[in-house]
Amino acid sequence: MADTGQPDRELIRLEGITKRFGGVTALHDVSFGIRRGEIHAVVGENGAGKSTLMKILAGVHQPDSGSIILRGEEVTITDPLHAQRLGVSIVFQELNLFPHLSVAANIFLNRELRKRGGLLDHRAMAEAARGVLDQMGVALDPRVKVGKLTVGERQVVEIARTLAQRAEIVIMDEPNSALTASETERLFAILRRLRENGLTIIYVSHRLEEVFAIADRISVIRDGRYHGTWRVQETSIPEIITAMIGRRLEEAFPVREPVPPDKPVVLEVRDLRKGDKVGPVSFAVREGEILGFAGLEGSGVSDVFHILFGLEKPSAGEVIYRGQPGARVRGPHDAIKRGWGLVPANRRDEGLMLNWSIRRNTSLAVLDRLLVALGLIDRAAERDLATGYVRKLNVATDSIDKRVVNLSGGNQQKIVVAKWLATGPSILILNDPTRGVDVGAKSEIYHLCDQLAREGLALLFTSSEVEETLGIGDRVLVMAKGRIVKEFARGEATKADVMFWMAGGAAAEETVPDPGETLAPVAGGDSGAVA
Amino acid sequence: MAESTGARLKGAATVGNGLSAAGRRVMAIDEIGVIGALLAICVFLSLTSDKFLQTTNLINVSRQASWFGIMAVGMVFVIAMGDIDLSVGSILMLSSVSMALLLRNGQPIVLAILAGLAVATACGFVNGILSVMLRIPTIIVTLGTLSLFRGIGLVITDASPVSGYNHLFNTWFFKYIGGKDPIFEIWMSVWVLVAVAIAGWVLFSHTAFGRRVQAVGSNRQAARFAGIRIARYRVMVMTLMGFIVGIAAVTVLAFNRNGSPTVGEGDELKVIAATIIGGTALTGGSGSVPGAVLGALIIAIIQNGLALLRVDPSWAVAVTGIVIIVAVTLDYVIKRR
Repeated sequence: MADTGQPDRELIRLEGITKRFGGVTALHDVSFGIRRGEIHAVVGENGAGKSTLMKILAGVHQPDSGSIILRGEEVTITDPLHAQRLGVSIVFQELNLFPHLSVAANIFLNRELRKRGGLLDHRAMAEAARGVLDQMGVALDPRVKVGKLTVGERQVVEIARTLAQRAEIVIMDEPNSALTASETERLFAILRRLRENGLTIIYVSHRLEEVFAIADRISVIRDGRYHGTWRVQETSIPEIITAMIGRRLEEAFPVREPVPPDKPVVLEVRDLRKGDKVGPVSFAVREGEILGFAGLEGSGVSDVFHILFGLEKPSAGEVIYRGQPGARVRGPHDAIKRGWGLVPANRRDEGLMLNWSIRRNTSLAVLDRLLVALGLIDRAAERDLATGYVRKLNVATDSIDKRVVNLSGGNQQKIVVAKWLATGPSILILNDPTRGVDVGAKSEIYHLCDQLAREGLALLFTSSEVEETLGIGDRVLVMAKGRIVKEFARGEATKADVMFWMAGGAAAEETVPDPGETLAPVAGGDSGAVA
Repeated sequence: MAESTGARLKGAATVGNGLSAAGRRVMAIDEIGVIGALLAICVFLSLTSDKFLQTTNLINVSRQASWFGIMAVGMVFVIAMGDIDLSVGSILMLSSVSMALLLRNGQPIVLAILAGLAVATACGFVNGILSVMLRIPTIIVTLGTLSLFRGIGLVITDASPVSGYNHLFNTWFFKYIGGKDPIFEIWMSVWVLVAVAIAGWVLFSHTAFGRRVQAVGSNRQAARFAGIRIARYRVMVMTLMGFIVGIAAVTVLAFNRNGSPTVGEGDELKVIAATIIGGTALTGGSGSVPGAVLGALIIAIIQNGLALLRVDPSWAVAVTGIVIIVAVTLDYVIKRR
């Protein structure tokens, strides 16, 4: 492993790459090198230019100036097909697979193997696909339709496709945003194996913990400029965050005072159940309290949130709102009427009308309150509402008539939050509000939560990043297999404690693959960030 | 010297900006594509046929456009919501023959009109409720009711025209609703279109109802999360579509006088074409009531123009199709810039 050729020799080098779109300089004089056989992470805030850089490598964009040196020779990559011929393949954020086709058909799409006479050679393709999957150490039937696969398995197929194209360099753009923790683990195992086979992987991500778990080196892009490369062993998450955002993020999480016990209980849930998926779940949240929930996907956290908001029906259980029993809602409309809000987990599918303006998205849940005579919408009031929240939440936009599809992830998320704040909720449920949001916007969302709690709202909060739930929750309830398995007060638990209970407590050893190798470095990197 | 040149250049730049700003404002009108297409067709026809611009011709074109236009107003809601209604032609027929049958049986005119509106509204409700309850897309449901409604109409009329109330032809209904207004001498159905279009535009673009309909079409899941009761809205919109077809049916019967079992055949495609030409996205989420009315005008003018130019009726059908594709493409290209 140590002697695979010349490990220090650069396989690809970027020299002074500059790229402008209209008047905006997306990349400015970016130079760095990527070594053969390494996993090289490229990190940066949303809009920093890392995706543009990757698209230049993949031939989607051409740089305005600067050069790309591949295997010691300067190359001009004209288009994605050319990049593929040069051995550079990209796996995009959005999976580009065809659900109705088999794994093998997807892997060989547009390069189908044919028999004499032009008919497809299904057997040869299945065999070749199996060869590639074996090389990755994956037991996946090449004849299965992709639509039947999990998100994690689809990602595997995407990688297999690049390998079948004989890629030497695979660029992965935010590969893990849709993966569960165990799927991410499996993906990492595959990436490590491919690295040992000599593949070079460029890994673009927001999630620093995961970057620290998988990468050999990390390069930071900030505002279109290159800000250095670090060996993972010689740096820490805080150092990388500082490089990414240009200021120290010591107070990422707000300082929270304990909630006085005399504050009234706003919402109490007793013995909530849903079939054998959820429950029994019981908890109570006070005015001004942020109640954190931690749980893996499928642990029941999302189900509890959806039941409370009326999106799913429970099979049993009592909901008590401000001392009134029988407060279970019949649907989201009912929840909104009562003053409850839900910031959903998936803003593109559940939170936003992407083709709509900021103004229309902000007002959607409160149209009833913006009406004048004859039931017409009061445009002026609507504009004031949107303008007010754009200011309050510090949304980076030049106009409230801008379509949200053109905003960055963090700003989109702020619009979702604005929509729910506009309803004037007394309870706000936040289901992973920082997913796919850059570091700066994350910090703003934490402080907003703190501020809302200070204003007297009760917040139910969960995040796919455990230390967020720990950092922001006044208490943290850990859920596993539909039940609350542990409760921690603020400051009582480390991330490792919570992860232990999330994985099922004593039963953890069976359910989490390889905890020794994978969880330890994550927790190690994290302790540096929190301390 | 240099300074004055600079000032002049700056002034010129300002004028340029002013023009382009005005130009941009014009180009930003949502209906610019369909207006352009309409003007192009009108200019072409007025150059190639001396009859086109004659008042009588224009008045006749407006009558044909009014029926498609009224129905297209309803279709804007349906398509913007991400649904479709293929049964409008059949609803038009079933509603109008129902009115004709009641008139033949000696029922009062007002009762016949109300019954015709009720039949059409009920048809729309059936479309909506079937789609929601059976969880079948409206394109499938209305493909079925396209045949079902017309079939019922054929059964109750024995597949032959409904007549036998000639004594009523002098009443207000056939004289005015089916005729022209005494002041401007414009077909009453055109005034009905104007009224329906204004009401539809306000409802679509300026009320919470219209906004929520577009929300459902833009992102159904997010609309549900925002507290919109999807099933209820979808049934309401399909029902509204039926009611609006009922209004069209009243004006059609008043003009045709007798109930025809062939009326409305193929109208669904023209109404859908008018709506889409008018800028309503087939994928849902947005739409334009004025655009749909202009789209209906385009469809009617093309048919009229082809007749004026003495194009073989068989060819006329083919040309209509081509013009629809060109008009939609034009709109698409302009919006894409």
